[in-house]
Amino acid sequence: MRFTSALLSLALSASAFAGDTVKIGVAGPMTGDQKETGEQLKNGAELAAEHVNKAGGVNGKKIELVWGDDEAKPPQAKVVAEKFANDPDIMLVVGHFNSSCTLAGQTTYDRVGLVEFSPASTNPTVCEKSKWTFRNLYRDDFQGQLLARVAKEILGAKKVCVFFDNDDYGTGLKDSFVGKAKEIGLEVAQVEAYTRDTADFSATLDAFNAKKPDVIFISGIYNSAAAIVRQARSKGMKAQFVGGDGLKDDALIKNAADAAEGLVLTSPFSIEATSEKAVAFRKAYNDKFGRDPGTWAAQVYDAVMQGAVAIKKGGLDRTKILEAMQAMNTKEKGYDGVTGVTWFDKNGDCEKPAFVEIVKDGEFVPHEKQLK
Amino acid sequence: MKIPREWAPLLVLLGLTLILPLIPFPETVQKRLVSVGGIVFIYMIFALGLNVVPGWTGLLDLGYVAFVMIGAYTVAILYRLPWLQFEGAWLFCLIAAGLHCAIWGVLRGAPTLRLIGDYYAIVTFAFAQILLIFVQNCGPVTNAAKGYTDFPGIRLAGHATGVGELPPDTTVEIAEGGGTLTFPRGARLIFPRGGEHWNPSPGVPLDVPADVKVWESGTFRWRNLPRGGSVTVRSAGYSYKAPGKLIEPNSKAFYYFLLIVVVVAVAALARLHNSRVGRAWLAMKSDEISAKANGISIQKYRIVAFAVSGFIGGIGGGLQAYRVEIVTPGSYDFWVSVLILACIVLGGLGSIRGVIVGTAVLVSLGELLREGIELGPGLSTFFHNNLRWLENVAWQAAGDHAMLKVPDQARYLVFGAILVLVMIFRPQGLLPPKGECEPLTEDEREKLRSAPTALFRMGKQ
Amino acid sequence: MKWEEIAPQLVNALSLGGIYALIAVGYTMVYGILKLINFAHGEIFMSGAFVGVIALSAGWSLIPSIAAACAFCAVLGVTIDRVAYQPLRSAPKLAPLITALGMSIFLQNAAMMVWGSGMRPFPVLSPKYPMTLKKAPENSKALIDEIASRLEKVRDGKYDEAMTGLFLGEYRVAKRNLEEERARDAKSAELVLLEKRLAEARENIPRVTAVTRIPDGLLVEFRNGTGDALKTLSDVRREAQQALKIPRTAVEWNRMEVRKHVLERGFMVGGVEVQWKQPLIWFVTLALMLGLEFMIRKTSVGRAMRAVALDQNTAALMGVSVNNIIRLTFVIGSALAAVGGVLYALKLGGGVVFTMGTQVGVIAFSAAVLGGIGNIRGAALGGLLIGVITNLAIWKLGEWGVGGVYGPAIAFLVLIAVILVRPTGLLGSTSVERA
Repeated sequence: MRFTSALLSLALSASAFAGDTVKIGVAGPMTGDQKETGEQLKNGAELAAEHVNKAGGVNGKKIELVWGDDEAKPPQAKVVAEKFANDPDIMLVVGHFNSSCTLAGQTTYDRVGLVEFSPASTNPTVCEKSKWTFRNLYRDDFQGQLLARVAKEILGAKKVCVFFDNDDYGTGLKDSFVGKAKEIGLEVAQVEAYTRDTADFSATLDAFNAKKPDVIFISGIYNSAAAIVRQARSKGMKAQFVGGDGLKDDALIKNAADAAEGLVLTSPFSIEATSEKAVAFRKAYNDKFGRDPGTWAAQVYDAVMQGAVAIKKGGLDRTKILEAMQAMNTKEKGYDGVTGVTWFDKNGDCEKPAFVEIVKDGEFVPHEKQLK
Repeated sequence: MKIPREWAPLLVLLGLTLILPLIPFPETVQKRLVSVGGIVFIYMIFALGLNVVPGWTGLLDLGYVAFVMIGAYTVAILYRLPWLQFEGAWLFCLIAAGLHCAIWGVLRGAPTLRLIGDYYAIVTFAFAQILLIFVQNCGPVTNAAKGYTDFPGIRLAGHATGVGELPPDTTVEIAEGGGTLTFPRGARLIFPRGGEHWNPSPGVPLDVPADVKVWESGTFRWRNLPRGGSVTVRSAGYSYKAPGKLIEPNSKAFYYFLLIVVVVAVAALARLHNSRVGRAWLAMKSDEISAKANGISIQKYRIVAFAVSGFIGGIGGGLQAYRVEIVTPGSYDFWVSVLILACIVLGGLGSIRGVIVGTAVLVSLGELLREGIELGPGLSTFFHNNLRWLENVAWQAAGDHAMLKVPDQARYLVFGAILVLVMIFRPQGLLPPKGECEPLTEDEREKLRSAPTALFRMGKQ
Repeated sequence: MKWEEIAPQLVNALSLGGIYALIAVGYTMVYGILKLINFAHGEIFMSGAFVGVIALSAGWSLIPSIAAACAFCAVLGVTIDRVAYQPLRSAPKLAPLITALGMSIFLQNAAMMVWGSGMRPFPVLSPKYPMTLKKAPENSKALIDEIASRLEKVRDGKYDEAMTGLFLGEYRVAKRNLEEERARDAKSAELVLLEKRLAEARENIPRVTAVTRIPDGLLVEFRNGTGDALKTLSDVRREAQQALKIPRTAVEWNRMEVRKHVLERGFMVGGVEVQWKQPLIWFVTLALMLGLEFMIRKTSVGRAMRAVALDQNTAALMGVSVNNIIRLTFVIGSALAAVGGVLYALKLGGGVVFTMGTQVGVIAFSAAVLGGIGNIRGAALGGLLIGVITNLAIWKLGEWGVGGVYGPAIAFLVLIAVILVRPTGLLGSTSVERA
């Protein structure tokens, strides 16, 4: 009987056993060309839900994750956001992934009143616009400036070339890097963009090579970066590669093989430098999915865990959950997770330290020098 | 007035869409229907616009997304200009977007008048690619990868609460949700303490915690201030205008608004199709040479088609921008063109009702595939026991239950397969054009060529 | 403009152009015969690249890998034709176009589900040695003992077991296990000791970076942890010579760089390094194109193909099996795309991903149009031109400060310009086709 009644109202997202679960929406690119990052998001969230549920759930209720595939496209993100916002059972949204999608969903969440907790959007303006939006990683501008200092102070570079992914993440990071680099007296020899579907970087790399830079900064994510460093090394280029947190993923090392050796990057999440929590997380992730977690998986894991804490405090009331999130406004009241302590300023941005890491013997390890 | 029979499906659909938001489904379902309905309507507008060129003049267009993009960016750029802050500016921007696209349609089409068939297709494709690369990278014009995120949406008429000279230290009450404040160079503004959020026009850097700011000039918009928040203006010559009511993108009002646009577009296009222009298109499509021989200026009528197609695309793009409230290059890739094209071919190329039905089917199919149907305990056990091998392709486990659902990663697989199957079993589309002289298929032509006597039997077939 | 700057760009441009040409031929052949833009062709190219990379990763050498990719894609191409195009031979012109798009979406997502959404890395090309990886012991102590015993084996001259992965991999597992054990029990003296032993072991792990079979023996290249931590390197060297019975001159020890596979290595021309794989790509492309040209122009099958392209019905009346010829067209076009796919993966060296088909496919299609669609020589020329223009535009625009990212736009502008001047493409027939 229930089958037919459900058929009649086709668009019904089933909420038959809403009584014993708490729903958290998880939004990100589950299909399309950024599916792989979406998979990390899915894994991290699944693991977190499993851990929360194993520990007794939230106020006696189990967490149920509802997936929203935004395909990394803002119009789709809008549809997903409306779906989540209109489902009164959904208490909190972890997502979206791309800044443009977070912003597309933001207006909807803001109007309806639903916490949007992004684990990955680094565009500086994301949190300023709505009190309902939070994130648990630092902003592009912070990281870009840090990376410029890494290039100069740790790596002793004089001349840099910048290769950036032409999306909001890559562009934002590049802007702040270039700004800071000029300020501290680095020579920015050439700045070039690539798109996410670029596969052949030869032409630009040869052009860079002719300029003989000390450091090439890759402002993008790991897949393209792996291809870039591998193509560069196979051309015999000697420049040092530097990148942001988007590069931190097992796949970088797997895809770039030896070429990744010596790559320096910043990361919000360093197993060696943080707590045993991080070590335990890595093990649990590895047991379940057979690979090490990347930056995003850890970020999402923390976001779901922290969201669960907020729901625990706020109960099944979206406004109270917002208040619970807002109350995490000092380091002491923050949430201590695998990526460090997350607490929010009045915009919903968070302050987190970044670690400088280097790829050594096929592993990400902390760089011997860290910036203060 | 007698309504032709072939319009029946459209009227049924219109009736359905009219009452759909009023049916007392559970609230969640209803809102989801309104939300998806809005998306479908926007795609209908795209599809209607695209149909003009491949459907009525027979030229394949593989880059229609270019117009959607130009329309969206035109709206985004115009709508934020300080001197375009009057009531109904959204409508002005929308029409401007349509006209802008009409110009581009002509500019794109005019040099290609000599081209036929697939060569025209590749020009349209290349044009869309070039434009996308430009939009992605040309920061000063399009804000590059970031696009326009600060998008105010459609507001109904607002009311002015203060214009002109004011003594120093006057406090202006701010309506909930924001408004528009214009002030001269050097005005000093004091914001309320307490960490609310504001959102200045581009080019004005703002350190968030500061509560006193000296602004260079210009207009200032904000939103999400609580009711009763205030901004103090320490300057003469300001004006403040409270915003009108926002038509929320996911509201019944917006739904009906889009529905009206679709109906207007359908009516206008149907009229155009039955006019001298439409008949000229048909003649050109059927046989260019005989059309020419009958004194039809191919060039002139093609230009008209390009302009009309571009105009509708621009309107659609602008509406989509209002609906989505963000304009970034990531929304306008090749697959959008493909989806729109698939809509019209699936429905029946060249037939308005086909285009409408095709779009309704295809776009809602895309959304329908996201939903799952929960199975009762009996069926759940059956699925668990007997259909394990189909798990994660056709159904998913949800706790102890089973859900009939195409998992996200397989959604496009199913979508592609459905597209192929429908075309194989109904190559003319779901509702092909009726009651007009259709161009002969290659097969029929061949028969005519090889056996002139068959000509007399052709009509019956 | 300096030679050192132009040469690498030209080298790249030519191989990229060659690969585009290989793919463009498939588009142009299908178009010539069916008047259909085969959008699924890009996905065939992608599948070819995947099959090739998978075969290479499994240790196959280049030629069998390419052959496997060709076979797979030929079957795939024919299947696509049978499923999606053959039922629509007499349908309106746009119907098969939509099935082509549907097929493209279907195949792309099928590839994603079968081969994964991530990038599949291009393997490091080098001869493989059989080695067995053991499951890592749970307990750190056992593992460290294992490492120590292996070090003994190195000293005993058992070099086959001294592969990099074994040692470093186990070291990592050991380190991680130890971290977890310490997290549970931070004060255990035994664990502290173990940690110290592990650190020592770390210093001593020799890393064999490559083992190559050379005409008169084995070339084992390795570096050790710190440069001198092994007992004495010369001891090992002597033992190795005795154990493997290879002449002294053939042994080069302690090279600090990984010795590359011949295709990854380069040679110098006028002060510019050119990788061997680049001329390989040129040669393969040229040979295939000439072969195809010969087949089309000189053989009876080629004549039949041309006949079918010209007029299917008449060809059928002359005794040509039209469906067989169409199938053959798909076989040849798909096989060439597969070669293009493997070569593309080889050229990039970075790995293949399921979305690569669309991107490269549309460029190759543009190349076919540029050369004059339906014309095989045109496709070759168009591919070459698009490759060269894109590459040079990326380079020069970057140099001028406009931004190399506009490079593909230049290629498309040239395309538009050419077909405006010559609506049938560079080598297409000049008479304008009737609508």
